[in-house]
Amino acid sequence: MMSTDHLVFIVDDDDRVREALQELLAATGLCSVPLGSATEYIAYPKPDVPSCVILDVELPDINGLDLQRQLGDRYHPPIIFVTGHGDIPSSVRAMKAGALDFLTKPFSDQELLRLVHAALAQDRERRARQADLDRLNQRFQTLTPREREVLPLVVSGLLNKQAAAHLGISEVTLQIHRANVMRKMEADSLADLVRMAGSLDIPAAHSRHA
Amino acid sequence: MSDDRPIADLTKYGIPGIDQVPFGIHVCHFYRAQEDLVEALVPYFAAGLGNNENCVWVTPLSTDRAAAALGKALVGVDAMLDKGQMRIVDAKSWHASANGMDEHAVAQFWLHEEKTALAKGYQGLRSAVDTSSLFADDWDTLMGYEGAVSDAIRDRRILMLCSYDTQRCQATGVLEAVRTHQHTLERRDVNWEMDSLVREEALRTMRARLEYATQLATLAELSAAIAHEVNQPLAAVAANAAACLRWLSDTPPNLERARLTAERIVRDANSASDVVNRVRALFKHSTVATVPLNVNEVIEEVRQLMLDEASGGNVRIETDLEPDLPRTLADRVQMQQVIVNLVRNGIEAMDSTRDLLKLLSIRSRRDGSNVRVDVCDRGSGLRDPENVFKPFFTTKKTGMGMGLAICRSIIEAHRGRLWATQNEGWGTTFCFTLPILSNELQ
Repeated sequence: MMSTDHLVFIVDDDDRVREALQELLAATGLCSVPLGSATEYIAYPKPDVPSCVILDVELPDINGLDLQRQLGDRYHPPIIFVTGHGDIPSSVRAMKAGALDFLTKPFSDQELLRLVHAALAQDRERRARQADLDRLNQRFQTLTPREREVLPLVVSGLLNKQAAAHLGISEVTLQIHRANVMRKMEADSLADLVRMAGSLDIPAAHSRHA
Repeated sequence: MSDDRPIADLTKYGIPGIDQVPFGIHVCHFYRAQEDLVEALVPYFAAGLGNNENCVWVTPLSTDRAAAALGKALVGVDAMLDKGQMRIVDAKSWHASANGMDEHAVAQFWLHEEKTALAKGYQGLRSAVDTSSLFADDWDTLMGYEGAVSDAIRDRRILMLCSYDTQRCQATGVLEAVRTHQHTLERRDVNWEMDSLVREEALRTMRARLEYATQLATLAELSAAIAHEVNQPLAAVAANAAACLRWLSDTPPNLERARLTAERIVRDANSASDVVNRVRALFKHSTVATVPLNVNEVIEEVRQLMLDEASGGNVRIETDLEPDLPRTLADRVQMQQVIVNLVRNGIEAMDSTRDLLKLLSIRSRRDGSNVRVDVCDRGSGLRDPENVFKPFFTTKKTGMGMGLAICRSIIEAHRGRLWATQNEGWGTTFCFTLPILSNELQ
């Protein structure tokens, strides 16, 4: 496995096209892996680096659009479709299913490179967001069941007294739990904790005036 | 138009450009827009009402719109509608009431209407019917009705004008409509023409359109395939050229990589031109797009296609096709081309024979590991059967002399043989063989 900070997958059944695209990407300093079929692409171990796929629509094993559908809602790097003859229905279908763009062969190198850079940037940003979320999730996992009960009450803006009453515990005990939550979640402030709860999809459990 | 009828049987037709017509004619007419339909039919009915005929208008227009159009053209329409001299029937309800009727019943219906009209003292029955769009999925039934009506109303005091919306008819449907009516109305500028010449003309145009449509379909498929084949190497050339430029503009230039990509450009450009050469070869019939094919189906298609050409030359086409004929691997369009060519040659060969029965027979059968097709004519025969396959050999005044040469190269590209033999009596038989599909060889 090569160690780079990005990777472009080229999936095309025509070896001349694969080779040429790889060369073009290499000439602009981009790393790529050429693959001849959808099956090869699915089997290829994907390194955890920003990546994108240049996908030929007319593949021998699975039609590129069907591959896109099969990948479905699982997260997937951005796809740039290329086709020998771009017909409108399939481009509409591809774009609706989230393709970044749809290029018709032969395409301009600037256009392709612009799309590849945009796709890598999009994937890089998404990966960063995902990494943040993963970290938050790991921290959340360290909370005790009681601390997990305290968290939504605190981020709802309840006073310590109100939250304590809600859980039927003393205010002092609640303050201890609250301090533990702040420490384990590595939150600098209540505002920080509220933001984290939002990212983790933890709903505010209570309104202050309830 | 026949002119042996008594003058009294003639009536004013009303359609611009056509004066008087005899009763008993069944005419078809094609239109593109409803305005054209109204423009033709209003004067048609005005003439009938003026001659005290009983009129029936079966129309896809709303009955109100039809009545208004008539009312604009002549006075007293309301009274005629009231007493039933003029009847306007909605095409949909007409179609519903005809549902399930056989051809005979439809013809009888019109004869009954005529009798009633005459009994009421009218001069005859004049009708215009347009239900073609309602029969779009059931064209054979409609054509059955039309044929029966053509036969039934001859020599009766009935005029029948059937309108067809060309936007909703298939080309083959139009051809059949022309066949099942006695006459076709065709518009020439402001006026209309109706005679047998027009009918021939219409048939010819339709056939030319059909052939063109078939060619277009194959050409479209072909050009899509070519575009794909050419675009692959072109895409590679474009990407390699862009890469090459980038290697050259590096500092310092990466000459080794630039050379490599330049070499690939040469290679891929050559493969693009190979595609072009392959396409040329395709037109030379050295490469074929073969599919498992039942030759009987192709023969039947060709027979249908050639019926008019044959009857024009007073030739009867007979087929004797072996049932369960094994399939062969062949290009359908090219097989059509070959068989059309052989049949046409046969028809033309019998052109000069006067007194003999002009019969062209097509036979198919299994012959060992081959399918064999014989096309047999009763023409004047050939002195040297092998000569006819030479390019530019022809016995005809017109023609390039390429037909049989191309046929032979098509058949040989299919690993078959095409030859000609002199018949015992008269004429020539052209025979070809095609190898049977290997998994149907038992």
